[in-house]
Amino acid sequence: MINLIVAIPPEAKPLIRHLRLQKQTYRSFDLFSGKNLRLLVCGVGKLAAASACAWLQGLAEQNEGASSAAWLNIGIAGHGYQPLGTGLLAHCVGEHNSNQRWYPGFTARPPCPTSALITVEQPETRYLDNALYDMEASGFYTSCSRFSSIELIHSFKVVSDNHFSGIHNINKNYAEELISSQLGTIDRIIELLRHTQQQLAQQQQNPHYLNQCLQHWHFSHYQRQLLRQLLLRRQTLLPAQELWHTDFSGLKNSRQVLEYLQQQLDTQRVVYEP
Amino acid sequence: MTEIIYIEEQVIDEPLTQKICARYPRATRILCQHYGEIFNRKGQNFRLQKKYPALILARKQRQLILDAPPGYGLGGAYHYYFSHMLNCVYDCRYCFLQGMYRSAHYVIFVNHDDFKQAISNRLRQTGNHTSWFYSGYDCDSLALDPVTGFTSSFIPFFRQQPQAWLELRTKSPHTRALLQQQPLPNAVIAFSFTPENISRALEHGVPALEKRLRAIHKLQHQGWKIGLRFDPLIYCDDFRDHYRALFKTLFSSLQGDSLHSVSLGSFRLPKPFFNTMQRLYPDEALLAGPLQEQQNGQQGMIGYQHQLEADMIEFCSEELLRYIPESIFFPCYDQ
Repeated sequence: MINLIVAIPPEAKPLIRHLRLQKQTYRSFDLFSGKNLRLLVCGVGKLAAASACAWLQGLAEQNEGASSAAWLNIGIAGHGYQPLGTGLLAHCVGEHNSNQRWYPGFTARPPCPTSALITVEQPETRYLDNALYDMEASGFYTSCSRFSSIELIHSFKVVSDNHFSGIHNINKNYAEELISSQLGTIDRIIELLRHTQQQLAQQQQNPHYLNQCLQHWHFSHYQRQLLRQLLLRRQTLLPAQELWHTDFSGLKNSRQVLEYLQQQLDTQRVVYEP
Repeated sequence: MTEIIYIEEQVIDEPLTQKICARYPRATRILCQHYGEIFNRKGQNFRLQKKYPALILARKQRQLILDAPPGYGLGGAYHYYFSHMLNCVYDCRYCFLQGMYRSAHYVIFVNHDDFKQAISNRLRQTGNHTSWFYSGYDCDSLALDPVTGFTSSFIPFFRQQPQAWLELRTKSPHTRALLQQQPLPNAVIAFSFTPENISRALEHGVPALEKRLRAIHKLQHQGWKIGLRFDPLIYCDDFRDHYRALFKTLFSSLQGDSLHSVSLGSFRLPKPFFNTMQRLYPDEALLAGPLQEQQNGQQGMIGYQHQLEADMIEFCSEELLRYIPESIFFPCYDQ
């Protein structure tokens, strides 16, 4: 699942249209969803962003379990000298008056240029640093880095104001237009996140027979971990060998199951093909 | 290769920082206050990062020289290690670095002079006793040498320290910088090997055996002392045949008289490192193999089952001693 977080409806509209998302009914936030995608309108400010991400994670855990989602914060931002309409991925996210910083992890070449991003409490008009200025990203990172690996959390901003064109020129239509102009890049970022997420899911996949074993016998928490580990090892060393035969399914309890698997693995050959 | 370089603000003007940045003019440069902000942060995935590692240029501030682990030695009175770099460009599945570090980025410490100062201080304490300094513990000593300039910087320094021995441990054929210098009598270029089938399966990115042999030939020809390291010994079915073949290939090709030392060691990992590696590579045959928590004072360490380990060490020791005198053989394992 990929969660898109935007601050205001004009940032959401082009994405909802482009990604064909459907509105879901919730009291707390405006949530839209499609195939393996969700979009949440969090409101302006880092607190709003942090609480929205936490709310969405809670909802997802309740409905789908605790799999690692990818998170993408999309929005408009200021930058001292980058031309209006430039799309930039954040490579460092910090706050104006704090030492707290996050460094998003890249697992492949980013599909667009990158920039530092500073989250401020009030709209920035002086653009002192060579950085993007927004009002949500640090809250987004504070929250999401609790749920997902840093490679799955990114922030993409489109330059809406700079030294030559201040924030007074921004209106709803302009914000919508800016996001619309970067839909191709956003697609590529989503694709990259999806790919990274798949790689991570492969690492975290449960082994074959785990659920079958858990349904058949009772395992303590510790035994369950041991069972998972033994089944993973078995899957690696004996990938083609059927486990669920009468010898195995006839075992009386969890202890016998673990002993059976351990014994099978102890005598297993390890071969590296020449 | 390198598209992102993180740079500590305090080292931005260091000559080595400038040199490395000039080597990658198109790389994105990202400033940070301390490399730990990126390298040590929780919630990152080593395996994912290994696909697109960045460079981190930093200053090593504390613990520049550390005592070598017990049993890690080639004679001499004192044994230390130091790391001008953290992480390795190769991707060996048995390597403890995958379990030890949260990040797969390469940290390069650019303050070589501070390391040299720390080595000099240590040598003042050890007097005339021989001290060994191992450089390939947290990284491969030579694999990134064209970037780090490590050997060009440290070989001249060690030339001035005759009571200190330097071991460069490597799987790399990058020997150009060494070949441009006079051989250093108190240095050993130690190459690590595993049998070819194991290397192909587990040592991702490591150059082929022939390439490394060619590099050793050049070094030997120029007069550098060579070490051979079979550490860790890796078990596989028919391990005897594979190790016998490896030893035969190596010793029939190398000049015995410039062999400084040969060592072997067993495969051991602290349990938390092993657990991390298993989480990262659940489908890895090496980690699914006949491993267990060690007994006899080695609790908390994962290694091969005791008898299997003993058989491997005994067999490989006997085979090696057919080719080399005992005086240059340094097995590194628990007796």
